[in-house]
Amino acid sequence: MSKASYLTNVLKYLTMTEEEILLKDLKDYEKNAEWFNGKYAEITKKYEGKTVAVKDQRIVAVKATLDETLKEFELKKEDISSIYIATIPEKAIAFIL
Amino acid sequence: MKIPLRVHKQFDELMISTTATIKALHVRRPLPLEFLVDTGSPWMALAPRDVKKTNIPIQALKKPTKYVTILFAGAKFWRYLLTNASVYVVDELSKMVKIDLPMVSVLWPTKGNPEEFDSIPSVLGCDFITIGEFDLHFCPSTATAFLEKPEKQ
Repeated sequence: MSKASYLTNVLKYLTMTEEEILLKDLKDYEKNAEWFNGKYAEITKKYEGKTVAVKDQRIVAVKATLDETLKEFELKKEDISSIYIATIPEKAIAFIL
Repeated sequence: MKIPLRVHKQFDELMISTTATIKALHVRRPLPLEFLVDTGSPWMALAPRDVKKTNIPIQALKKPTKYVTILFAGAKFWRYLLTNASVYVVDELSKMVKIDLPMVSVLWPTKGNPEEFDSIPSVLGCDFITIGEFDLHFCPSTATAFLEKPEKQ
């Protein structure tokens, strides 16, 4: 985790209430999800079968699996609360729930 | 009160999703998650990918007395329960809304590698809509969707 990112996190937990943090994370996550959805066709074409992480409306990690992605953020001690993480299905596979 | 939903294209068709955070005992890392709005599901259910993200210890959860295994996305899953869960979403005025559910289902594959299911989303099912007393609106022609709680007279 970068120094700036670390300080932002420290500041967040020192100055905000639990409810404010929850709301901020929800809104930041939503922005990242919307950004991902807007670029869905482009991203899925490029990263088929991979796990992609989006932070501040840009891709910050591409890994082979979700487990690898979570592990990397854990090693960096990165707060993943607002990070949108999606595993792109392989081209031929769709899901019906 | 309205809760806007995301309408996006996947597999060449429109799908509706929303963002919510679940807080409950055993949710070690309560963080925002993406839920597919699925009126075909009776329950709000966490898919394996979100079980990993929220760091829920499956072994600490109890199974229900009814509907212990379910078919979901073509595979068989054990159904565990997170009881007394609070679900947080954001309304159109950017205010947080909390809906308390008696339980949220937690799904884990009965066999196979859980990684195979990492692209399957969690679902926001009928229990959330019913308990929250919401109306669900979806207009494909304008690609808009929202949950609305009518004002009580």
